[in-house]
Amino acid sequence: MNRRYIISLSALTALGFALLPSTAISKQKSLKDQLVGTWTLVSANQVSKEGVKSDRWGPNPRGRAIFEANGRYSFMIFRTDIPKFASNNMNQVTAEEAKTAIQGMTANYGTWSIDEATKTLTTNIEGSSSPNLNGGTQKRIISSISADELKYTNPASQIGSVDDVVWKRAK
Amino acid sequence: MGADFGVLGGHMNKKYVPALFAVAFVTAFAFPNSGFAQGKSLKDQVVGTWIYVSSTGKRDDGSTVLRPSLQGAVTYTADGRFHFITTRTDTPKVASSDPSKPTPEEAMAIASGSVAYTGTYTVDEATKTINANIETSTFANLVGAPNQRRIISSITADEMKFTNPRTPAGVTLEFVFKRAK
Repeated sequence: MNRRYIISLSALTALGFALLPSTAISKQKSLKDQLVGTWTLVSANQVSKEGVKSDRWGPNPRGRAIFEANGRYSFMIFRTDIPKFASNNMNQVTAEEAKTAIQGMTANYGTWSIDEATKTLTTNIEGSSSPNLNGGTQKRIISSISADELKYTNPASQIGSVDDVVWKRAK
Repeated sequence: MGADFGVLGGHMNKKYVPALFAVAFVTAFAFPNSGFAQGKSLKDQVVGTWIYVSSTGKRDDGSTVLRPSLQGAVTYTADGRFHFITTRTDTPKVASSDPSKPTPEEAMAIASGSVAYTGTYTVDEATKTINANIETSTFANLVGAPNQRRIISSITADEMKFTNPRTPAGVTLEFVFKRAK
């Protein structure tokens, strides 16, 4: 192996690496691969079938969605203006406190999959803070995704509203 | 080869280099497991989703607290976030077509039967402790609560057990989880 050969080999390698990143990320990365990770809620707007905007999550809601590469997900959204309960014993909450707490949050977990062609995210709910959702399936249409931002809509929520949800990648 | 490799020094001769590679090669194949198993931190073992199997509760005086039938999961991400959720399996469904509008009785049943919280965590390898910083919770009183520790009593590829020492209700809980497949 002489020096000239080593240098030209290095040059070729360098060229290869320079060409690789753009094709690998923009063309070969599936929607699934782009979704994997942790996302922080930015906003979740709900518009009823009558066209009325609702503010179910109040000001500055806190939410997180985790999509694992192995197909597991976990999802939570909380209002941040729920007052503390009077008792520190969770079994002694009042009906009013309970109702406020339940209406101000949602949490569920299970498995997820993506239909790349229709950009549809399907979640199979194994467990949920809302017993009505247990064992159910939800579909969300991904309207845009970049390295930092994810937007999807729920065109058919349980109560007939349309949800537009925006997330940013957790840093 | 007249080039000076700097770091390796100019003394290295051609005969020595292949021998070094051969040694490195053999080493990599001879010890694939020992390096992995010993090098894997508790944090690395914890990352992922764990499905609730069972739990037991004990009061300070050692008496047993009856635990309801629960389902749930805990997820730890590599970037330091976690989700925890358990719900009673006997929680009634909300009869209304809008599940966000439960009756007071339904709300009580759901609220007292569901625990969900999320936040950030760190692992103390020495004390085998997960230190949780709770950012939001179904039980708002837990938010920002100090000393939220989960002490790992055992962990394998498939099973994890940890203790939640003394909840706000004064009970020490031990949880068993299996890794989600």
